[in-house]
Amino acid sequence: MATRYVVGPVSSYPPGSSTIVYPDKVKSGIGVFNVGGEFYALKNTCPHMGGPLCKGRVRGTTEACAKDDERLGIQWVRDGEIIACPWHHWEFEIRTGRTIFSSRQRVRSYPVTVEAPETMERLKKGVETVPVSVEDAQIILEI
Amino acid sequence: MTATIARPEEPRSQGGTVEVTVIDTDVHVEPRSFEQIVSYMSPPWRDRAISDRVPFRRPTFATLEGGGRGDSIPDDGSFLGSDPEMAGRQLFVDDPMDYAILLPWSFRGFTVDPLLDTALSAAANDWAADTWLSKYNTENRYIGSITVSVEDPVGAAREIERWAGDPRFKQVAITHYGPRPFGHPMYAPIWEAAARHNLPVAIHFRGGATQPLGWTPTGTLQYFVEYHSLIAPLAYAAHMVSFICNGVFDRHPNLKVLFIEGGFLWHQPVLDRLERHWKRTSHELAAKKTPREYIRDHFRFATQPIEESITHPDRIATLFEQANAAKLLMFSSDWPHYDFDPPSKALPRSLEPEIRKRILCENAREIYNLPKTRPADRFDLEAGRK
Repeated sequence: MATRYVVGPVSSYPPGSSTIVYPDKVKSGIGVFNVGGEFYALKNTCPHMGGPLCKGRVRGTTEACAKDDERLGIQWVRDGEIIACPWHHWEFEIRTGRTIFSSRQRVRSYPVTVEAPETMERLKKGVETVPVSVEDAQIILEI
Repeated sequence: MTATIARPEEPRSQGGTVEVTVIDTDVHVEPRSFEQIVSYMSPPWRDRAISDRVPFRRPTFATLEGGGRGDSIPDDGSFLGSDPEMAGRQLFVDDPMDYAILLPWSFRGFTVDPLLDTALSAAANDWAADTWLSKYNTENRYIGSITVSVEDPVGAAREIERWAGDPRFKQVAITHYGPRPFGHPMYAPIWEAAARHNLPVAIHFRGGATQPLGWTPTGTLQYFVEYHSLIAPLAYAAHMVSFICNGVFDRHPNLKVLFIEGGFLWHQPVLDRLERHWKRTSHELAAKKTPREYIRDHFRFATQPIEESITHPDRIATLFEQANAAKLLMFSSDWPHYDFDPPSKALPRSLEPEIRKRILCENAREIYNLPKTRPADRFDLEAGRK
């Protein structure tokens, strides 16, 4: 049975920002990220050696490319879409929780929704609703 | 000098004992500032504009995110690894270890002047003795290294003599780079002094004005990933063979050499090649044993950064076992650097429990002659180990 956890108002987390919340069910914490206006949530535990993944820096990564003169170059790509663990610097795609290199390792992710205040009220009463407005909306995590 | 750090005056006795299960052979601690080290220097060194001649921060290889573990950087902007309370919590509570072997990181081989290097090493030893090995060591969890300069072997031997017998220091620490590989007779005074006092010699790679980080046998490197993959194993392979072929261990049968942060499994193919050539072309040497026996009797390797297999994690334990990890490998974390390995997660899961125990604790316990149990303290209480 999923539990809903209120992260906070959407207005507090503009694109590029993030936070870590510590629900009772997940004591090591869950990182919540706004990537380009969409919210994503990842467990704050790196699947590699258990480092506090979400305390790492959100950034892009370098990628090899062929330049116009056909010489090898490097370019900075996917800025704001990647988080690097503060231990060992393994890089994960925030949208999917997958490593950016080829591996079967994946960090656990959680569904995030944005709910309007009136929806929140109805949710509290156990009534099914559909979101109608994003004014004063709240970020909700399902864990 | 160090009055800003509040510590309990007396060890609060918790009663009881704790079994020693994890010994960390590579922990880097720092002073709060470079001036703190300079304050331990005597004239003329202290008065010769040391800070200008010995830049504390120098251009070097760096990772994209910096060299520190992201959650180990002190909030007050002081150096990584300089906060004793944070160190105590992260080492002895979070994923608890019993003892931390300290290898102060900043002061080895910075200059082009061997005598200044020795003066800096001496200051680093005095500073460590005064802080991490006494004031900050109320719980007696930290074990010191006598830092010496390999480029000043006579001064290095004198520095070893100055601390030998002090129970706070249990090994000699040197860097990876010297004018010649370490079997060369020029280093004899260092090995003699270490062997005389039964002190193992730990080698940790390091850069400085005369100790370039990025030199390979065929030129310099560009990238951090090249440097961190190659430099230590290349240098350690050269030293390993040089120590063996020059008879250092025949002269000092009790001498132990520890390769820190340079990997482990690479030594197997190097040893195989040496053994094959040994049979045919070692007649000019006075060596009494085979290379495999010298390695078994004289070398140990620290785990971090531990060899991992992304594709076949189940097979890596077999490689460790084949390479005699049960005897040669000692756990290390490299706290507080970015590639910190926690003791509960670092080793391959499929290792035999007995081998795991030897790597995490027993091999280092024998090298440093540490006890099987120790008094419980406040960290154990916090860690729920008592």
